[in-house]
Amino acid sequence: MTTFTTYDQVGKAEDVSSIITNISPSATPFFSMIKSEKVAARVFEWQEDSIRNSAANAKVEGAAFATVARAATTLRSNTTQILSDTFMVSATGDAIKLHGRASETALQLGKALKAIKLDLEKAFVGVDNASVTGDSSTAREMASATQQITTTVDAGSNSTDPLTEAKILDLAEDCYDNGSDPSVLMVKPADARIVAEFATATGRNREHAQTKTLVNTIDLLVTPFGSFNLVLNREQLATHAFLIDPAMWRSAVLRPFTRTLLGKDSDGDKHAIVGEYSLKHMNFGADGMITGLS
Amino acid sequence: MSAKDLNLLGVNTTFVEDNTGLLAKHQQEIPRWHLDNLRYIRDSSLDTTEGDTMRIASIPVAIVEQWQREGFDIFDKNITPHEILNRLRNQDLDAFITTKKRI
Repeated sequence: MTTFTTYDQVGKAEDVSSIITNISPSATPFFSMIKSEKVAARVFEWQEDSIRNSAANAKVEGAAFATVARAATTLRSNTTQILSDTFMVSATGDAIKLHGRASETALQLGKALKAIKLDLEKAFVGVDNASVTGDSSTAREMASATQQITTTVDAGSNSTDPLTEAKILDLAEDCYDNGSDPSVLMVKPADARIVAEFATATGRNREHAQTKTLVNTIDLLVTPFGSFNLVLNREQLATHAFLIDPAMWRSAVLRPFTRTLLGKDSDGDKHAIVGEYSLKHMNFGADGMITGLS
Repeated sequence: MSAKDLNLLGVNTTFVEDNTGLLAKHQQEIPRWHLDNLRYIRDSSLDTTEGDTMRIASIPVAIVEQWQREGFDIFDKNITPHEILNRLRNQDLDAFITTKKRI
């Protein structure tokens, strides 16, 4: 006799990753810009390849063929990171009639989803963090974007310097020389003002005494090295500005965000949101960043 | 100015639940002074010399998000600046174009 055994699930695991993707994409521009990719291991690897630089190439008639040594591909890796958030709503809280919202659970779920998405954005671009493999007492941590970009320009000779148009163009030129094609300039909000004022010298900008308020916009910039979308990111490192090609990045998903109703042990419902993510830059030389910004 | 001092007017998403499920409502405030500033920049663009960096449009993120939901992603490299400007004009969103020059 075969006995088929199963266990009753406490609550229902609900996939909320699609809801998370749709919540205020502009609050987490980097996460929203890049595509996702499924991975199947805690530590995943990919290979980075390149072609050699151009060289003088002219041979005499009848020349012997000689093989040229090729560089091996570079093996890259990153580690997944578990992100979670938990909230509880009392049974009374969900039953009473509230102004401006249908139910307390909907409100708290929405807030928790927003918060965990911000956490993921911060893990991507808000820290300069090397990957941590982790063990039973140490949480795994992904390598952030700053650890996966090799083209850098220092903002100046001091420890920190303001963002300048010259530095942005230097970085764009370096990326162009590398053969990459970045299309997004991502800066902290205060630096967006600096970029907007590049035009001040020619008198095109006029301040309307709104020095502390900034409207979150995507500015279209045309430069000698192509057109860039200027994106504001509140979560990114304040000392960095990124020039990126979103197509070269992947949000690596081991477990998409899901909501689980936890076991009942009180007069209320406990909800947990958990997911396991990482970041993959397909070619470390593809994008660039300015470091040491004030 | 630190990020904390800055009041960034972004998209505010609120959630409502009805018999069809959880709905997200997206809103962004666009103040009059911002539109006036863009109009000033646009109107004076023909009288000025451009530098290395030329701003051709300044699109509120609420519009960018709406376009993404409609399948028009300005972060897609196949979308050209011309297509973005045309879409702004076609949807009567000229107020967010910052130049009168030909690109």
